[in-house]
Amino acid sequence: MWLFVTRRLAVLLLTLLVVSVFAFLIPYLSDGDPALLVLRSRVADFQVDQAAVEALRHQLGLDRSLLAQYLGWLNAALHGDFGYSYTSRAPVIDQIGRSLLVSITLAMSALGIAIVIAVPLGTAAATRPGGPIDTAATFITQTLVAIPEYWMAPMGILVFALYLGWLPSAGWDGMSSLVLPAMVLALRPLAYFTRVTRAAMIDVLQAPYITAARSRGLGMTQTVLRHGVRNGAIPVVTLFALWLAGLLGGSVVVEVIFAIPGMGRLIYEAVINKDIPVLQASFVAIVALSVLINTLADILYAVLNPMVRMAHAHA
Amino acid sequence: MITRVGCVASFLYTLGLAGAAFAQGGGKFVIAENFPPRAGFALETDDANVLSKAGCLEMLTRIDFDGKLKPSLATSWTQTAPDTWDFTLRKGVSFQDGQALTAANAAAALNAVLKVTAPARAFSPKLIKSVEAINDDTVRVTTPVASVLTPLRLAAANTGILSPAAYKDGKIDPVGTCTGPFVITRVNGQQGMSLKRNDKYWGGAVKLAEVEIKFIPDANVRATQVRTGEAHVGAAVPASTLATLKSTAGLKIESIATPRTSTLLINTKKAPLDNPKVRQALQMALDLQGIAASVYEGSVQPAVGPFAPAEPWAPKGAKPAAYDPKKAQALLAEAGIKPGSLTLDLFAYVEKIEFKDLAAILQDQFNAIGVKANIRVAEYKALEPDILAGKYDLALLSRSHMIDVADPAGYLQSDYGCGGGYNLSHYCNAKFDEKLAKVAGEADPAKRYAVYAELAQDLQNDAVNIFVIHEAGNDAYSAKVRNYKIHPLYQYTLTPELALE
Repeated sequence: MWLFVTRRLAVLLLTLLVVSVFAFLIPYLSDGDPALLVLRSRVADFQVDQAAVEALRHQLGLDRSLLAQYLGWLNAALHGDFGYSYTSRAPVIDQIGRSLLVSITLAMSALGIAIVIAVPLGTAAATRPGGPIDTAATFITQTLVAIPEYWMAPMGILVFALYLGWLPSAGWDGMSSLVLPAMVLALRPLAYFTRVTRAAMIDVLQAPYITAARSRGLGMTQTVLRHGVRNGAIPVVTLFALWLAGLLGGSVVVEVIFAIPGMGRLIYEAVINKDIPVLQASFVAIVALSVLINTLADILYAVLNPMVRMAHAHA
Repeated sequence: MITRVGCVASFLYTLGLAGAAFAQGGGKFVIAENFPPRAGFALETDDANVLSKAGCLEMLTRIDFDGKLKPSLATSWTQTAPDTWDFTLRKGVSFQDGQALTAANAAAALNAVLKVTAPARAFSPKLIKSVEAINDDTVRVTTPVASVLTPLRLAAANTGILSPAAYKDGKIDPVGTCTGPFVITRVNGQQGMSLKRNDKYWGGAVKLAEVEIKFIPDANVRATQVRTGEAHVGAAVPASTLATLKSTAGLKIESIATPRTSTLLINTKKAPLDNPKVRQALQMALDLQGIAASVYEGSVQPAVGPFAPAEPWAPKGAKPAAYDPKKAQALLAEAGIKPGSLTLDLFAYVEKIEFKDLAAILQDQFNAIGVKANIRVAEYKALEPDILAGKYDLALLSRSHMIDVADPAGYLQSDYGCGGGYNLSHYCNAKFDEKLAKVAGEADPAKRYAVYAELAQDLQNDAVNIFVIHEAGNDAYSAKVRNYKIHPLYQYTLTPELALE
């Protein structure tokens, strides 16, 4: 098991190193001179003064060799220093920290809602395939997958904020402002989790040890609780990790519609403003978290499924 | 059993989240604003406007709600030489941190904004030679050439005066360092800002005790916020929401004719758009009356040029460009352009909500005279590099002609002067520049305005750009709000008089 964990962590570190190279190269892959972008970001109709550009290039260290720039950047990044945002002029690490916290809160809430509804629903559907619960679950999940967030979000605002007045329409101010966006964001994973739980549970419930348990006179509910849920949850763990990683930087539509200052909106605005330091740090943060979450999911998967541990132990 | 447990758990979880929804509120005055601070409150940037709108930042002079220049931190000003103005400071004014306002403090604040790498449009070393304190309560401002606009320049938000404590390590900290009626207590990134009343305000009693500003860039969301009661004021709501907002009980609309014109920029350097006949043909292809009535639901007037008819520098009796598709086709034929042979790229940005619809209508009306238009819609920042580099044909732009200074000289120079810093249409006409240069030192406003009117008419006749509509500013607000007004330059929102019933 430890060998498995060590290997996964080594892959994680190697991935992060590769990611750091790509992040460092972002300004060189974009079509603008970073010094020029900094000056342009300050005043809309600023007429570019070449001397000011050169002075800023020197100040930003852009006149050094590429390797020296990379090592300097990496060293600073390892100390949590990703520089200052071109637009806000605030330390990038502060912005990323704030936005990441918001996105993690939003994503975890959405996935929490999804799991809490999907696992029981998928399990119930699996206990009687083709039955009324299964049919209803299939209909609901297929509908949810088909409805895009950019439609669901305004509809949510219309119903819960405008007509019912129960929830705020936008902003990020306490728990109340979390409800609507989390619900909207939960709908798709809810559909997928339900489908995956159902499929996994159908497989599990046909396993010989379930039949054996049933033949010993154990009721259906107890069989499912004692023997089914642990094994049926394995694919959901993987799916949860994938969705969490995806939602951290990928909930742009919901964050923009609900005016939520999360990672999705931060990256969206950084792209528009060509805010290179923010893009670099966001890229590193999102990929690092994604890799970390997937590594943890793999380890958890191995804990839940002894077959995986054994396969790695013998590899 | 499992489904019951699941259902109950999910219900409780959701209920737990939703329960918090009812904990909101608290009696604060809440305003949904459109522009968040983006540059760490650097005063040379548009963040200065955020601070002045918030009732925090004040300047030596101010443009009042009637559009006229009034005293602010300076009580009077005198032109002691053609290139020199002396400003006498108001006595007894203190910054919110308790420091006294002195000429030395004011001069230091103004010099700080002059020394930055990318200075402000209204107040840069190109326009201002020096700022110095000549005694305890007099600040002297000198300009490289004679300038009658200096007191107006000192009303630009970029020239706001903060306590010396605000300037640390090249950064600006406005918390507790302003002189205005409201004190910033908390800044929450680009999300919002909290303020409280300045009980020691030099201008008298301030009515509102607490204010929360939410920065919400999406205009539709701002309109929704005021409809749901989450905000008492929704700034700059879109024209398409006006009918709904007007019919909503407990809401009012405050409208104002703004010094802002929606313009179809034409790249005058690019053939065949360098031919005035082609530009005039495009101008005549557009039914401006119809556009004002349809896209803007009658809430605006068709443009008569860069300036609206009511402005003192608008040409007398000016009318919108004639809508004459047949004559437009004839002009194209004269320019040697066959129907269907000309295809133009038309840029429109999403931040101005009406532009998507407007672009579609322009495309249709150009098509009627045999000119095809390919629409490209994106964020303004994404389009701007191509526009600045001259890699475009047509582009919609919402532009204020009193940006930074309450006189259109700066706008005419930057947008239409040969060396203009924001000359997006790449227009260059030596006669235009000469006329503008001649009035730079003209102290008599009437004479200056007459030249501006002449230049505006020239731009319109030459179809340098197509001026589409004169914009109106529409703010929605709760009927419980008292004394709410829109400032003509959007410089002040939170005022001492503003109150909540």
